[in-house]
Amino acid sequence: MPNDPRTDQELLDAVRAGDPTAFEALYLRHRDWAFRVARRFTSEDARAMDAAQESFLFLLKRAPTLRLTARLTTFLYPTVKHHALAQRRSVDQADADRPAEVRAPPIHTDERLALLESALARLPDPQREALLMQAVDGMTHGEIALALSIPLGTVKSRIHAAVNTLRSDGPLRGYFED
Amino acid sequence: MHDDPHIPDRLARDLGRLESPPAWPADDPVLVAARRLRGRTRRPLRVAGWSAGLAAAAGLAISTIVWFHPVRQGPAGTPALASGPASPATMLDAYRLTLILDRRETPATTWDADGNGAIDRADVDTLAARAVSLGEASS
Amino acid sequence: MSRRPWMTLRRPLLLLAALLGGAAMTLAAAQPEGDPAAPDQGAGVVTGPRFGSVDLFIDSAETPLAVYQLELRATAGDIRIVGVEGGDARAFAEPPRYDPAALSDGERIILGDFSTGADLPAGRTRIARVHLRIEGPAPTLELKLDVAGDVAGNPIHAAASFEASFQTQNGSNP
Repeated sequence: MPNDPRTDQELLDAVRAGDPTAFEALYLRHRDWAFRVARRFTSEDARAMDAAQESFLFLLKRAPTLRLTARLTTFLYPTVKHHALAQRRSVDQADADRPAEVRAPPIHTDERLALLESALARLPDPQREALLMQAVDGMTHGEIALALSIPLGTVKSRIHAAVNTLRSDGPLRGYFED
Repeated sequence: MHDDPHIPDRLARDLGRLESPPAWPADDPVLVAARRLRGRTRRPLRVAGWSAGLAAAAGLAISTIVWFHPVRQGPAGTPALASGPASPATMLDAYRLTLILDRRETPATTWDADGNGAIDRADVDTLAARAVSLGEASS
Repeated sequence: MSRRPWMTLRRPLLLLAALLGGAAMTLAAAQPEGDPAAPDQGAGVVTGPRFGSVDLFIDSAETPLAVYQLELRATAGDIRIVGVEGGDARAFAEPPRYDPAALSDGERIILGDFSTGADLPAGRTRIARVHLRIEGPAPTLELKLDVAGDVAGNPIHAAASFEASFQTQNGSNP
């Protein structure tokens, strides 16, 4: 089932036709992606997992009557983000009632990855978001524009700015040398 | 205004490595919900099996009467149904042809919407597609 | 759209259950839960690009609705159709038919569907939902009912209306 050969649209059609395995296949195919997206907006893995699951529970209820006109990930992105931000808000609220604590920085045995993560964290949120959507999620600029509800030119300028910032970061220059 | 920004492959790969997937629980609530839905969709069949003996006589008799009731209620053989689709076709035409085919009546040749000499469900689809076509519909 | 195998089983079962009394409640118990609230996309942004949805309703008064066709268009504003869903009634729960060209055309779509099933809705019923991407000022939407028909295939008088999840120039029910 994880390697179901059907396309997302075919799986959605199968859900609509009553195929009980189709939604599972759809979920298993995309839950890691949904987690990745949610994790970008939350501070905890568990919260990101919750957001990803809530997004698919939302889709499960919609699937029988939904016909997509865009890629499933494009359609779902705002939903995942919405649930992730809701998770973050609930964490922020809980944190406000707790004494502040210093969150441990991420640890990567690979120094280059650690530097990259640090540089990524310094990018403005909109730039980081667009960069990851293209580089990691493999979304086209058009899909990013649709998912974020922003003009195409804005998508390109955000990614441009993100790439330029990383390029100007001394230790990361190696990524841009052939 | 902007050239397409280029992200080096190695950078993209490392960005992906920063985001490792989690260990999903075996009792993942989405899978549980999906499987519960699967059980729900099967339930009528299980009920059907359980009550088959009891339902056989009454169910068959009543369902036969009710199932065909709406069709008999319709104006079978009226000019509207027999003459053929309107021009431009509407969804009403697709529905009317469906009624004719369901009743196993012989449709007029004017219902051969796809022009292949046979009048069948494909003509229903053709009429429905024409009905919602932006090219043919009145604006 | 057409009869489905489970529907052919369900009807006699429901009738039998009604005859047998309380069993009907058992069969009808598994109702789907209501949709969760739509994600808050673009809240607070009036002129920027944003997502929204339009619920389409047909009121056929006391006559069960078996077939419909209607046209939704933006007479002002910049919209793009990004998804089409079915409605609340079981007979029209699946997405209706539409011309894929509507997705590139952007400003109008014709939707239509029919049902030969038993559970035809009467009164005011949500028969479809259209998801849109809106850019710029609030659009002006226009909904026109091309045709509605009863179980026998006769045209009937009905009224179409819509409710948008976003601001429109002409309100939600023109």
